[in-house]
Amino acid sequence: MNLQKKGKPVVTVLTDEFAALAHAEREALGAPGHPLVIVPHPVGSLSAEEARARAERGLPELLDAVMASSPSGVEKGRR
Amino acid sequence: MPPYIPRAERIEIPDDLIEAVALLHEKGWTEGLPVIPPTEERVARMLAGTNRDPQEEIGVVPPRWAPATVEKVAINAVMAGCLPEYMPVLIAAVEAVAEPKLNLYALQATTGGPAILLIVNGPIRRELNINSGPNVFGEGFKANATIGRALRLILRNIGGAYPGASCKATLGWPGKFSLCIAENEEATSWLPLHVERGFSRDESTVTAISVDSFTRIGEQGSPSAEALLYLMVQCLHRPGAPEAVMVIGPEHAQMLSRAGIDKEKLKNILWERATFTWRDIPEDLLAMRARRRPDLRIARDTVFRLVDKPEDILVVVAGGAGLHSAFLHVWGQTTPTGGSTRSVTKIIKI
Repeated sequence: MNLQKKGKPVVTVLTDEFAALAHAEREALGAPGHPLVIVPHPVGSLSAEEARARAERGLPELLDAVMASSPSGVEKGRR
Repeated sequence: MPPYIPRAERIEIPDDLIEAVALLHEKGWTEGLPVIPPTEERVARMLAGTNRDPQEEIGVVPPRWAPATVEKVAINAVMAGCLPEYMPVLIAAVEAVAEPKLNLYALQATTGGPAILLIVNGPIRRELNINSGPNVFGEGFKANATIGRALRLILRNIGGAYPGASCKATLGWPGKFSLCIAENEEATSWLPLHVERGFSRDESTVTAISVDSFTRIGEQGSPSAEALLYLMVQCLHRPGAPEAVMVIGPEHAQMLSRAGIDKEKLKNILWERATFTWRDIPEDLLAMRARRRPDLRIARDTVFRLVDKPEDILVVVAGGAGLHSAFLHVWGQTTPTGGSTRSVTKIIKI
């Protein structure tokens, strides 16, 4: 969030297990609109191939979120 | 002392104690055990234990990042069953946990489920009967039980660490209910923890450190200091934490003292001997360790220590009669910059 204040595009990627914590946290830190990309839990126990597949599936959403978060990417993100 | 004008949210509670406690459980304001309902009158009495302004902010408690005011600390102290005289210890404990280097956000939210161990030093141990003797980690001592419990309620009710939601502890452990000990300074000639850390013997302090488990060390009739050191090293089986806690029973401390070993020497010996190599470690685990500590250039033949430096081992004398000590593993990871958490010692101001 400090990076975001400096104008950098920032997205937090987390698993659904941590969604409640992340939602509470962004409220507590006064950034309710902070973008979250939520992927299914778990990731820690995935094999490298499974992790790659999971990442590829989540990539479009992640890129959209980054574009929307980027000051210069807002227009493109809204295309 | 400024007059107490309550600022905290007030609710109507039933006159019946059982019903009142049930309501507080229902509100989510307990850790599962019955609490004393914090009425205005009881909170005011608790606040008499400190000169601080009830609205003074002691620190901010994550993950809610809510201010812990003296009033809110007192409310949780009432609920936990504290005496007003414990307030200065609790205030210092909150100052300690709010210190950034402890990294309370991570401690509260992690799946690792650590507890925060409070270690009290100095004359206040005697004044408040904080147990440093027999069954020091166990039940039976009001000050230890309720100070530790009050801190847990503060972490929950002010910090908003709710298990399953914002506290992600996979297992947790019973230390999370309450974990407060005092050092048995009278039972040893070794320097007390707070003196090692630059305070004077007649000052009182509280040290907060994040621990996730307890391993008892010792076999009845350990024949020599050398045998005892061997048993200790055998129990130090988890490298990679920023610090470690050794609680040495007074008889063990005497055994070591007789062999010419003081705290500093003990730390050096344990650090020298508790070593690990990576010869048989699986490739992925080796890679992970190496990634975490690029500065150590970890390879298969690297000798790895329990902690980075001997002084990262906290040695505290506590307990009663018997040949027992304990190793408490510190939650968190060693990093090139000192680790993901560091213990904090704060002076207790009366």
